[in-house]
This record gives sequence, structure tokens and C-alpha cells, in this order.
Amino acid sequence: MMKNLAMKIRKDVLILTSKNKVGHIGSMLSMADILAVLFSKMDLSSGGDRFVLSKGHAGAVVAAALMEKGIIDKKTFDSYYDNYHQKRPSSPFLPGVKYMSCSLGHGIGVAVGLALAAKMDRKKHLVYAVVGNGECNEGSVWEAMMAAGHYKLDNLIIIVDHNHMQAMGHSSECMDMGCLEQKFEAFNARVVSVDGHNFEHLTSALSVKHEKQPLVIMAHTIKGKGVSFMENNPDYHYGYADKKQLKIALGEVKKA
Amino acid sequence: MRELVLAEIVKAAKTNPDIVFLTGDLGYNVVEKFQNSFPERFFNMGVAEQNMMSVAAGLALENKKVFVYSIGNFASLRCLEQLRNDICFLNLDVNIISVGAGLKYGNLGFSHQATEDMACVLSLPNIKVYNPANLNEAKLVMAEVLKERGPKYIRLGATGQDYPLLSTPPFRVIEGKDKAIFCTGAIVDEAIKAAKMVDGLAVYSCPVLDERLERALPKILKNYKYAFTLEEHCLKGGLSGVFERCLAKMSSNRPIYRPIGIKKEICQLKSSRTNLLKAYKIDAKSIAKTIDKIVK
Repeated sequence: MMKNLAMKIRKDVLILTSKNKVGHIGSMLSMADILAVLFSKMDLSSGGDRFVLSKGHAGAVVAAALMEKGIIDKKTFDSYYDNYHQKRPSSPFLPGVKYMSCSLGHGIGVAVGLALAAKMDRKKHLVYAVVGNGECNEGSVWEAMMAAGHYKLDNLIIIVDHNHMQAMGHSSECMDMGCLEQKFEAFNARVVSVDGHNFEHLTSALSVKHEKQPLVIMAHTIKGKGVSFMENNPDYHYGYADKKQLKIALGEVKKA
Repeated sequence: MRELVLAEIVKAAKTNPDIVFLTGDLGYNVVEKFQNSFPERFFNMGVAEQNMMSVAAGLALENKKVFVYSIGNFASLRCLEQLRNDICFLNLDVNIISVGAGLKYGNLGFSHQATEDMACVLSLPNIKVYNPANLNEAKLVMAEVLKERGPKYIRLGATGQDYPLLSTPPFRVIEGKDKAIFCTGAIVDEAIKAAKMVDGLAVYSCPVLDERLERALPKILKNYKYAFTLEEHCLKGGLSGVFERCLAKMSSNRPIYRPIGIKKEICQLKSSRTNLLKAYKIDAKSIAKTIDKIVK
């Protein structure tokens, strides 16, 4: 079921980005499986769990997952990159999404605020944030982790979509941060490292116990996952599939 | 002024359980007033202003009324993008208490001299900017801050002398004839002293710098032949920015206008506020001299 959901999400974003000629398809495909698992487990109702997307450049993949979960309609999804023709601008974020940032390094901080508020109000919902590994270059990510550890936010779950790449290429060449797991651990988080395309691994990681500390799921992924010519290819950070490529890509995604 | 502002927040927090207080590890012997009364609603966010603003946004997204405490540049420039994207864009109820504004921490040098903060924050959407001159103005500002929702930047510099508040802002502190000086913050005290040296100089204080000031000004400005602004801030985009926009829109009865503030080329000094006001030519004597030069 999750596999089918992930396939649909990939198909949706390949078509949407191709139609609008906008990039970041690689960043979307790397986190499609994460979202398929997360949105199957999370309480997406209003008043339920809170979701923050910190790597907002991949926002359309969240819209696709929300559409496949029946939370937004196709019209809303289709207008993700262009609400100019609607009579008034849509609300800044999609339903089910508490915060989304296209500027990197903001999401964990906002999630810390959401988690602190839940603690103060003695509410039981959880706060989930998806961040990118490239984003972890931002100092504000570590400021936020420092606070999450200090305030023992065990209602906060951070999933790092670690595709080992960033805007200009491979992270080892752009800005080598060494072992990210160790860095999050050093800020007092419980860290689990998983294959970010393995549904079972992701599912069990979400239920790892993390008393009095935030949980960080380091999901090792492949940028562009599911489309052979996009995988680990820096061109598809800013790229999208043209008409001919789209046909091939959709074929590969359906077959997988 | 900080003590008064804190006391007002603590008073309001007694009846409003949604009031939350964050500090960027500043306010020793000041913020404890809140911490001791409401420890479960007080968070030291460490020396990390960017994150403090994002956290404030997260709390406000859950309907908290958030107060954030830090020093001038750290509460504005250091975290300007968080302020813009996380707080102002969403019109969240985050109230920034920015202390030591202007030249109050002049001895600590350029890093602590908040001389561009108003311009930067005023350029952001939705946010209201306040710069009270004294305890009376601060009390008035806090009444509005505690009542209204939305982002606010409360700039607290030195504490000036109180005067009776007889109208709505901008307040006329001294009546005059053909010329008026409009000030924001405690530097109004220098203008009051200057008025003793310049005949017929009216003195106004502007603790509120948002669009309400822009709306109120044309009616006042048309009564004067000369208008001046005075601020403990650079001459780009602060109080002078508001005036330049107003004057550009006035088609008749436009006064001759000169802004008085900190000129960029001499910003490398460190000393007491009193000395720096003189060095930057925004003390009473220098102000009187500048006005005389324009008027004569």
C-alpha cells in the first residue's frame, strides 16, 4: 500500500514539475517514500499531529502526498506553482501542513516552538519535521537542535532526507559535514539511521523510544530515486523532465 | 523603561495564560520578574536569535502571545529573515522587546550601536514599530501591544524625561510657530533643550512609526514652514523614511525639510551615549546649530 502511494506521489510530481517547467524534482523523488510512510502513520486531521517541511523547495511532493491521501483536491495540487489565475491567493500553507519554508534552516526552529506549545498545553500530538541534508549547512539548524535537546522535546521527530547531495552537487564536495548522525547525537537527540527507501525500516524507526529527547531519523536516500537518469544526477536539483523524458520517467516509476 | 515593560507583561500574564516569554540569554536582573512568576512560560533560548524567532513563530502558530527579549541588532538584523518569513509573512503575534536601542550601549562599539534596526524592520510587512521616549510613552505603547495581535517591534533605548500625554501620537511636547522638529525615542530630550535655543521651535514625539504616523503627518506638517526629524538612527529609512514618503505625497503647503540623525561616515566611535550624541551632532547644541543654518 505504501509502495503504491509512493509510486503515485512520484508520478504526480514528475508531471507537475514538467508541466510548470520548475526544478527540484530530484529533492522530491528522494523523499517520496518518507512521505508515504509518514502520512500513513501521522494523524493528519486538524488538531492532530503537526507537520513542518523545512526543505520547502520540495513542497510539491507534500502537496502530492496530501492529494493522494484525499486531503487536498486535484485543482489545489495543479495550482501549486501558480495561483495567479485564482481570484485570490490561497492560504500560505497547505491544509495539514503547519509550516513550510523555502528558505533553509527555518523549519526545525518553528517545529521546536510547536513542540514547546504542545508541552505547555499538555497535548499529546506529535510534531514532525522533514529537513534536507544540504540544509544542515545552516547554523540555524544546530541552534534549533540545541534548544530541542535542552528542552527535552520528546514530542518532536525530525526526519533528515539525507540524499548526500545538495544544490551544487555531491555534499562531500560542496560542504563535507562528515557523519551527520554524530552531530545530531552530540546535541542530545536520539538518532536512528535507516534506508530511506525501505518502508519497513522507516515505519519501525518512527516508533523508536526516545524518552526526554527528540528523535532524529537519518533517512539515507538517493536523490532522484525511481528514475534512472535522475538518480544521483546533480542536473535534477534544478532540473525537471521535458516531454520525452517524462514519458520514460513515468514508465520507470510505474514499473518499480 | 525595561522594568516598566516587564512589569506590564507580568501583570497581563496573570490573566492571559497564553503569554509566553523568550529571551536570547539577556536581561539579567530584569526578565527574572517574569521567570519567577511563570517559570513554565519562560524560556531562555540561549545566544541564538535566529532560532529564537523561529521558535516564537512556532509558539504563535499555536495561538500563544509571544514576547521575545534581546538587544537592538541581535533582535533585528541577526534574525531578519526569520522575522520576515516566519513571523511577519504570517502576521503572527510575536512581540519583540529590543533593548539598548540607538546609542545606549555606545561604549560597546559598532556591534552594539543599533542604528539601522528601525529601517530594516519598518521595511517588513505587517509589523508595527514602536520607539517610546520615556515611561509614559512606554506605558501607552504596552497597553496597545498587550491588546492587539500581530507582529510588533518595541524599540527601547535610553529613558527620557516624562511629559504629559495630552493627545494621540505624535505628541506635541512644546508648541512653536513656523518650525517643528519630530523626534522618536529618548532623543526628544535633546530637541526639548534645543527648543530653548531656537525661537518658535515646536517639538513632537513619535513613539509609533507605522502607517498611522504617515496618515497623521500631512495635517500637522502643513502648519510649518520648516520641518526636521531627529532620531538615534541612521538617515536611511527610519523616521526620516516615513517623512520622505509623506512629503513626497504632499502637493501643497510642503515645509522645507531636513532629517537629523547619525551620518554613516562617523560611526566608528565608542563612548558613552552622551559623548556619542555630541560626536554624531545630535545633541541639543548641534541640533540648534543645524536648524539655525537651515532657517537663516
